[in-house]
Amino acid sequence: MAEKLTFGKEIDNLLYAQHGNPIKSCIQCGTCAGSCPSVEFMDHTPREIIGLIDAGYKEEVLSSNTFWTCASCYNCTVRCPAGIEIANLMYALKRYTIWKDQYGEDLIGPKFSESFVKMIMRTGRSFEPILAPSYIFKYGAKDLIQEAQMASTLVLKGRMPLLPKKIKRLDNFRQMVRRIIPIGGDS
Amino acid sequence: MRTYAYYPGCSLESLSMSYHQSALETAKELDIELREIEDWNCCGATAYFHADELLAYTLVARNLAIAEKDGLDFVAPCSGCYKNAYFTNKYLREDPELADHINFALEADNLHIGGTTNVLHLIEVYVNDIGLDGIKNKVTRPLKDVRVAPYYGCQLVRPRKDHEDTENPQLFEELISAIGAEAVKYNSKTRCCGGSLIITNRDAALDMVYKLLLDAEKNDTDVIATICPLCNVNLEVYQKHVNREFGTHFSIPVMYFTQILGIALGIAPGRLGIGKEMVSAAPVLNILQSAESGKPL
Repeated sequence: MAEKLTFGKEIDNLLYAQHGNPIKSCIQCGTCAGSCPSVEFMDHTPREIIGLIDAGYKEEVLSSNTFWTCASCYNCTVRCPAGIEIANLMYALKRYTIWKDQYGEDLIGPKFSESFVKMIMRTGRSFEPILAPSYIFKYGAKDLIQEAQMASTLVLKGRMPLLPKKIKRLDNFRQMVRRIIPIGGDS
Repeated sequence: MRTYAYYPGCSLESLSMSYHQSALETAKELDIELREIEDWNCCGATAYFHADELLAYTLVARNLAIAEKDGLDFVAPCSGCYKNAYFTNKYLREDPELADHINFALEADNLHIGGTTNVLHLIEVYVNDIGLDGIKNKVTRPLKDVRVAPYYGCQLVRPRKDHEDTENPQLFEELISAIGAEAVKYNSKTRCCGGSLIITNRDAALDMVYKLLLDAEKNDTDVIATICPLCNVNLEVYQKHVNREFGTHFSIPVMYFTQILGIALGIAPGRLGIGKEMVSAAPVLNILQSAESGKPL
């Protein structure tokens, strides 16, 4: 009978391309937590998340805001004495919760990523003004006004074009993407 | 004249167009050609890697494959684009199975990637390929008395690529000295600016920007120099947000390294996109002007 895949192993498998050491090799030293510039905004430190994964606390890990609070600065990765690809582990957890549609309601990150992907499918390039509606409703009234003022100043200074650029071979581009992921496409 | 395949990236078409302008102007002055990659697409930034890893590598690989067709080294002025391109190239070289999979997708656009191109950040081209002496020889207006804080941010130096110093890199300081300015010593030079958290977690990102600005100010910084459009936007465009949030009065100019270099090479500020800032860069120009006895730049 096939061995049952533990949560820790499942997450290790998501880190295939990076060739880092498995989560099991963590010595719980806390260098990652001490090196993280956004740790005070996380409900669990990176060290705790690794411990929770290893101990199989799947729900606790998936409902955490830790990986969506990771700015991908890789400070933990370059300092980890056990050679674990911690920042890429955070990426893996983001993908895992997006695939399983299992992330905290109040998080902007997953919604932002989804609209980003759709936008790239439409034009091949990224364009900030199209992205805005996906997250801007999350802001309070005061922030919205400040955001609008900032945007109009940027337009006046000639830093914000009003139309997105499209790549020329967009059909080929979309076919290329479909060869990787058969769903999606022309949305 | 040496030619590179230049990948501007999406930010350099909008918020950071002055980085694009100053990159092209300085390259011309330093006798290299930055030939824009034909029909390039978005590198996936960080957001695409949140959704699907393989797809993100494919997006990056398309740009690399176009550069490869011309046999040119790939150069990016954005640290995020640079990191994505560098590591995609590396993984494709090391993993033939991954390369096969991605080449199957690239066939849809009649492209093929062999991993033969080298990926460089623009500052590496300037410091390593042109070289500090090459730059010094072209300086016509040394930035005497200007204290420049080199802000590396994250992705030029992290993740580690080889055996380079990820804690205390020096190439930016060397460039600043080569143009006659004084490099500010401060602890935060490789501390993260918050990146895309400025959109997805505003509180965390503003806290990170605040700490950077505070450290730069404490160390008598005239101007923070950046090598990445996202770092520049977070430190510059959001400085006002930080002031509101923390009750501070920061007014620290933030400029691209190519703008500072451009001034030293004698290029007129307008041609370097200077004047489009949310935090005025005039104080920096004024230091130079008074050093040159009031002669306008």
